[in-house]
Amino acid sequence: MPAMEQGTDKNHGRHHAQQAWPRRPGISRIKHALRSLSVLPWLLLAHPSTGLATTLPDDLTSMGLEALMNIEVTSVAKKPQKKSEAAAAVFVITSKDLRRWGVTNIPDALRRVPGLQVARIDANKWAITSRGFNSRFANKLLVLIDGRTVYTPLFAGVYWDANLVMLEDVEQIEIIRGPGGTLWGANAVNGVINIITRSAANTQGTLVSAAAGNELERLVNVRHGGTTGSGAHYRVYAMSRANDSGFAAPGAHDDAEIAQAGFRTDWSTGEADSHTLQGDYYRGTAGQELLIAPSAPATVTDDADTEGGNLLYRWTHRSGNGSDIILQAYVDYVGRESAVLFEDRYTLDLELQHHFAWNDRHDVVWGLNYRSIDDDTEATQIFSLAPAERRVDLVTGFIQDEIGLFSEQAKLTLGTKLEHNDFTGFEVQPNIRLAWLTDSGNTVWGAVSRAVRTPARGEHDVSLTVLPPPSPPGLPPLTINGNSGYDTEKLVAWEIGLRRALADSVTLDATAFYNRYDELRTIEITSMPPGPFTAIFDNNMEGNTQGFEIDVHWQARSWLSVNANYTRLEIDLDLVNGSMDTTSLSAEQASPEHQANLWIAADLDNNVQLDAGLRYVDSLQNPGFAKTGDYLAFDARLAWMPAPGIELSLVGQNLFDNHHPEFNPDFIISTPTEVERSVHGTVSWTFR
Amino acid sequence: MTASQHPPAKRARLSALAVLLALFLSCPAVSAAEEVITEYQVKAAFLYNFSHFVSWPALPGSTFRLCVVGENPFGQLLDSLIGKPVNNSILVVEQHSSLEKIHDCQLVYISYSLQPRLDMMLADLANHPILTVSDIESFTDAGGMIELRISDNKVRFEINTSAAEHAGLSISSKLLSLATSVKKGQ
Repeated sequence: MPAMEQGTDKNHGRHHAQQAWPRRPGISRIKHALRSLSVLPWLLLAHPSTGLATTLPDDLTSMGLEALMNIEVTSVAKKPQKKSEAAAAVFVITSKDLRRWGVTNIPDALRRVPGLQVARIDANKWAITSRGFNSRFANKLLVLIDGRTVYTPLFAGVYWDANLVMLEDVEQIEIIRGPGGTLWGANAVNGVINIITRSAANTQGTLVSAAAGNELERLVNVRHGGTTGSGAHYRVYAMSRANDSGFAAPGAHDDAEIAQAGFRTDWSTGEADSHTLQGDYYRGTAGQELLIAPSAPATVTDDADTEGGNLLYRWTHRSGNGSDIILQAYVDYVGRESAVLFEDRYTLDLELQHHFAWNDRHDVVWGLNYRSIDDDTEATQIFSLAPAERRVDLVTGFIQDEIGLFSEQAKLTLGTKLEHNDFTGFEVQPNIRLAWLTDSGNTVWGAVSRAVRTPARGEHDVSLTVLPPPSPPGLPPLTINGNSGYDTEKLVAWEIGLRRALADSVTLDATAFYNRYDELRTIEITSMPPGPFTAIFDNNMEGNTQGFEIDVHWQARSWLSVNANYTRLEIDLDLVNGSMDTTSLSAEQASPEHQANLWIAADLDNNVQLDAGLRYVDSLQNPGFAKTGDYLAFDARLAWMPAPGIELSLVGQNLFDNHHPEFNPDFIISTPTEVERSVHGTVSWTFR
Repeated sequence: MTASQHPPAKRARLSALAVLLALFLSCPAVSAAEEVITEYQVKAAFLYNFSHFVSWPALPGSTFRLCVVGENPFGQLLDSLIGKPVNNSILVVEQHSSLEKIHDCQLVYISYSLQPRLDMMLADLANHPILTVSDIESFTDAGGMIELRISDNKVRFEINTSAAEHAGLSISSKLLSLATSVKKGQ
C-alpha cells in the first residue's frame, strides 16, 4: 500500500503529516472540535497509483486495514493534501516529538528543524529565523499560535520569553520554510511557524506536571478539561516557570520567571457550525544586563516586566456543498517595561476565509484580513518613538487557486496577496507552485514567489542610542533614527524539492532554494563626530541566499527510529547606492553555514523510552562581538511510565560541554550569556 | 438485521450502496469527482476489520454483537455493517446508554461522552471477553484495548495487549504489526 511503502505509519509520522500547504493558520485541528458534530471532517481516499484523493471504493468495509490506514482525514478548509504532496518545504513537529525530545519551550523544540537557525542570546532571549538573517529581532519569520500573530510590530521580531505555550496541549507545530507569501500574513518572508494547540475535546481530564533541574528551576503545568451539560468541551490551565541565569564570566543576571493561565472552549451549533473561544494571560520578569548608559557604569542591571493577554473567537461554517467559511477575531494585549522602553500594545485582528471548489479542477481559497495595532510607548534615555502613540492598520486580501492537471498527477497553484499598510501602501505578493506526483509515490515540486517584509514601526519612528563596540576604543555612542521613507524589503524566492521513499523504512525530504533580496535594511550614517553621531535606516543592500536542507527518517525497527537532517546556508550581500554600512553586511556571517542533527527515539520496553540527539552548529560572527565557535551538543531523555497516566523522565541538554556561547545581541545590547549543561527531571500525572 | 437472507455478494453490494447513500446524504452537492467520506465512516470500517483479527474464546452462536455505549458518533453509519459475516456469525449492532446490558457484546465502542466514567467502565468490563475500542485519548493507558486516533490526518490505532489477554482475547500479529504502538503494560 502506498501508505506503508512510505514506511512511516509506525513512527510519529511527521514525514507525511498530510497537511500543510497551503493552509490558513490555526484552523488545522478543528477536526477535534468537530468530533461531536455529525458533519465531520472531510476524508478523501488516497488513490493508490497517484496518491491523489479522487476515488471512493465501492465498499469501505471491504477495504483492508492497510488501505483504511491510508485514508486521509482533514478538516482544513483547503482540499486535503498530504504533506508529501505539498509544493513547499514543510516540517511538522508532533506532540509526540515534543514529549520525546524533552524540550520545555518552543525555541528548544525548533532546534531540530531543518532550515531554521535557533540560538540563545541569554536565558530569556533567543534569535530564531528561517534561512538566514538571524537576530533577536529577526524580522522575516511569521510566528502564529492558534492563528494569532505573535511577532511584535515594533521590530517585527518575537519576544520568545513571553509567548509561552503549554507543550502538553500542543497538537503540532508546523514549520514552512520559504515565503508563505500568498496565504499567510505579513512577515512570512523566509518562513512560517504555526503552533497549534489541541481542541478542548482532546484535552479532557486533569494533568499535573512538575519539572525542576539546575537550569530549569521550575516548570509547573496544571490543566483541567471537562464537558459542560450542553456538550461544549473546555479546558483551563495554569503554568509557572522559572529559569536560572546562563553563564557569563563576570556573573549573569538573566534569570527569568513567568506565570500564565488560560482557557479554551470548543462547541458546535447545529451540524455545520463549530466555534472556538480561547484566551491566555501572563505576567513575568526577565533579567538582563544592559549596556546602555553612555557614561559609567556602562551596564545597568534591569528586570524587564512583561504582561500580556489575548482573547480569540473562531467560527467555522461548513456548508454541504463542500465550501467552508471561517471567521476569526482576536484581541491581544502586550505590555513590556524595561530600562529600554515602556511599551503597551493593543491589537485587533479580524479575518474571513472562504474556500470552495469550482468545477472539478479548481480549488479556490480567498480571504480578507484587517489588523489594527494601537501602541503607547514611554521613552527612556536610549530609546524613543515619535510619535509615542500610534495606530497602524494593515489590510490584506488574498486569493489562491489550486488546479489539478494531467488527471490530478500535477497540481498547479496560483495565488497572490494584496496588502495595504500605513508605511508603504499597496504591496503585491504573487506565487506560483507546481507539484508533480510520480507513479511511484514520489513528489517533485518547484515554486517561485515574491514576498515583501513591510516596515516595522521602529524602522519608521525610532530613535535609538547604541553604545559603540569596545574596539576600536574612543568611538562615541550612535543614535539611529527611523526613516519615514523606509521601504519594504523584497524577495523573489526560487525553490525546488523532492520527497521520496528510499526504501520501505526510509523517507527523504530534500529542498534547495535560491533567494534574491532587494532593498534590504541598512543603517546609513547621516552625521559624524565631532558633531552628533547619527544614522538612519535605509534600503541599500541587496543580495542572495542559497542553500539546501535534507531530512531523512529511518524507521529502523518497530521500536527504534532514527532521524537526521542537514542544513546548508550561504549568504552573499552587497551594498548599493554608495552605502557605507558594513554592520548590515555582517549578516553574511551571522548564520551558521552548516547545521546537522541526528536523533534516535527508542522504546526500550513498553514503559521505558530512551531518546538521544546530537546537534552540530557551525561558527558564526555577530557584529561587534568575538566569533562564536561551532559546537556539538548532546541531548538525552530517559522516561519511565510506571503506571497509566504517570510519567517520570530525566532530561539532559548540552551534556558535552560545561557551557558554550550561541549568539550575541544587536541594537539593544545586553550581556550575552552562554548555554550551560542542564539536567531536569519531570513528573507528570494525567487522570480523569 | 435481516440481511442474512441475501447471498454474500448481494449483501456486499447493498452495504456498498448504503455507504454511498450515506455519503451523498451527508454532503449532497459534492461533485462526483470529489466523493468524500467522513472520519466515522472510516472508523466504522475499522471496527468491522478489527473483528477479523481478534479471536474470542467462544463466539456465542449466530450473532456477533457490536455495541456502542454512550452518545453515538456514527449516526446511522454502523447500520451498513449489520448482517456482515464475522467468522461464522452475523454482525448485529446495538446501542446502549448504560453499562448493564453490554456484557453480552463482543465488541464495545465506548463513546467520548463516557470519558468521565471510563475508569469505572473498564474496571467493570475487565474480566469479560469483550474487545473495547474507543477514540478517547489515552484509552489504552487507562486499560482499554484499542484506541482509535487521528494522527497525521489518518486514522491510527494503539493496542494494549495485556488488557486483551486479561480478558481472554487474542489479537492477531497482523493487527499488532499495524498498530502505531503496542502496550503490554496493564
